[in-house]
Amino acid sequence: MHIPENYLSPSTCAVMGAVMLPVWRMALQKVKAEIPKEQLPLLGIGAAFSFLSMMFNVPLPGGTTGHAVGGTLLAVLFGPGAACLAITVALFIQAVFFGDGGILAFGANCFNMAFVLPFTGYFVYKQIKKRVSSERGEYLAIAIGSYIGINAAAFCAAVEFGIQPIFFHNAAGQAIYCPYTLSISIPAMMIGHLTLFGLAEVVFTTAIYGYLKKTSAGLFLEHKGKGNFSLYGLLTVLILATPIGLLADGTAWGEWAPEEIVKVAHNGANLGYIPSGLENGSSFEAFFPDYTVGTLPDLFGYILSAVIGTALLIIIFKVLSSFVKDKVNYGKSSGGV
Amino acid sequence: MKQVILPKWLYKEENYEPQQDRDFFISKSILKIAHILFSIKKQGGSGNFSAQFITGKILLTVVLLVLTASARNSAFLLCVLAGELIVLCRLSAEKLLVVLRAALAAGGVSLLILLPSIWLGQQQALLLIVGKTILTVMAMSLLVTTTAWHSLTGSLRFFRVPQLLIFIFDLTLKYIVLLGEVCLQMLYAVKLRSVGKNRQKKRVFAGIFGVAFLKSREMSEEMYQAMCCRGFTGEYRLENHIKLRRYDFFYFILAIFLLILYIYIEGVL
Repeated sequence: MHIPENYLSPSTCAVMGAVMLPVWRMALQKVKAEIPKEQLPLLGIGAAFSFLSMMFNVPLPGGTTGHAVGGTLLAVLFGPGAACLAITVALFIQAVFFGDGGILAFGANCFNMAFVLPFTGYFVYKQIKKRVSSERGEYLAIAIGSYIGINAAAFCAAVEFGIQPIFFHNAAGQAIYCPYTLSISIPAMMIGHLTLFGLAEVVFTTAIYGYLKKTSAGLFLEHKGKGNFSLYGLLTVLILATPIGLLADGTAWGEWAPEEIVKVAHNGANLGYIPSGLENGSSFEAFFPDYTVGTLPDLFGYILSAVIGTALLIIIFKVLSSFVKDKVNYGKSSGGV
Repeated sequence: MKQVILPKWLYKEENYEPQQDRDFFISKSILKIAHILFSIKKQGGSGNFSAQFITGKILLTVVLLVLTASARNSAFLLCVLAGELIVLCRLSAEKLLVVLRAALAAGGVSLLILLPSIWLGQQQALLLIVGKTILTVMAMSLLVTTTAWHSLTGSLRFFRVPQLLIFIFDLTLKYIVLLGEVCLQMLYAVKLRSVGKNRQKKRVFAGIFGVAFLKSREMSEEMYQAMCCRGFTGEYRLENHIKLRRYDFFYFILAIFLLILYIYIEGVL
């Protein structure tokens, strides 16, 4: 599911990176507040564990093998915030040192695998576990959680791929980045993840969970009843809706904005229309004079709506983080850490 | 002296041929983990923490990646290719092969993924993306093969990455080696001990990872105790400040030159 370089436009990458910034911040703050300093090294070692688990081949029926990300497992073992950081670090090392996934696409990859995957998986796991208290229910919860988690992540990746040809093409209609539209990218990504990779993730997660449960049951007690799970649910829905929201907003903007943008582009020549308030990465597109004016409104609408979405997200995160802090302080005083 | 009588079955010639078993997943995992351990160890990844900063080099690479990714005509890409080839020429044959292999492999995969897009009438995307993929992967592997990995993570501070994250990066690189060795030993053990058909084999991987996880907790406790002994109070700080060297400015100038070239080429054509 690692998105390589050049399949996403730099502006998409910048938007995804910008979305991840508050997530990382929140995860870091949460981890700093929640995890006692004795367990600080565990973050790095957890990341090493996460990295290695992505290298591992899981045996599947019929003699085939598959890779797992293990995001849901990490979220259950370490908590979703720490899982987010661990997977981020693992993805960074993969991208920089092993060429797995692009550097510019790092934000997008983190969004899919370090954020959507563990948070969705954890949320589903907790919701089912709350309702079914038997041991079998717990296995079911973690199986379904990991399955939905990886598929949600794959879906986000598919949407990121699929919106590229809609927004980024030249005058001749030739795609500049990923050439496959949503109608191709979604089935192409989802068929594999609904079957083989989904299965690999479920096998990986339940098998290791089962092993740890048998050998060291005490491990799982510490996470019980911690955190506000409706909060995770809200966050997950919000984030999952973002790419779709971007898509819808972008086309809507494109419908009414052309005249304005044309004017701006004519007056200011090449560099005149770099909007200073936009994200850094988005302005790279503005260097292209041969990028026909007819397609610019789409781009602008897309970026503008993305910036608005991002700003809203940051605001929401700030508001939510105030709740989180309260929770943590309460836990701290009772835990005596 | 008493004569030892060997039991009859020892005289019999045995024709035991173990049944074939599919253990792809073990062999594949061994190969993959061994490869990673090899590449980390080779460049001294588990070595010193006090590495040199290479801010300029990273900045140049990032600028190059962004410009290459957003370029729309082949003239600029050819310029980038020329530049990269010049740097490539100065590498030793061994490193050169590593870089070339990585770039061509990535290009090949990209070609395979994009091949169906020809039927969608997207030939240009095919050429552009494959070309760009080769260039960007080459640039990245040039950066990685010519620098110590701890310098790379250390230099992230220049880009305002929090200290805690950099600490985690360094720790992760170290522990990939340590944990990877644990996994590798267990994988070897399973492979050696399962002769013929072993139905338990599939169940074994959960054990390997379970043990690896428990081991990682143990290691983290030990690490914390070691840190405490050295005066760790819960705050992670690196003392030495980031200093820009003359070398860095050379890379800055190169990056600016690349930017001007980009504006010129993409603007004129």
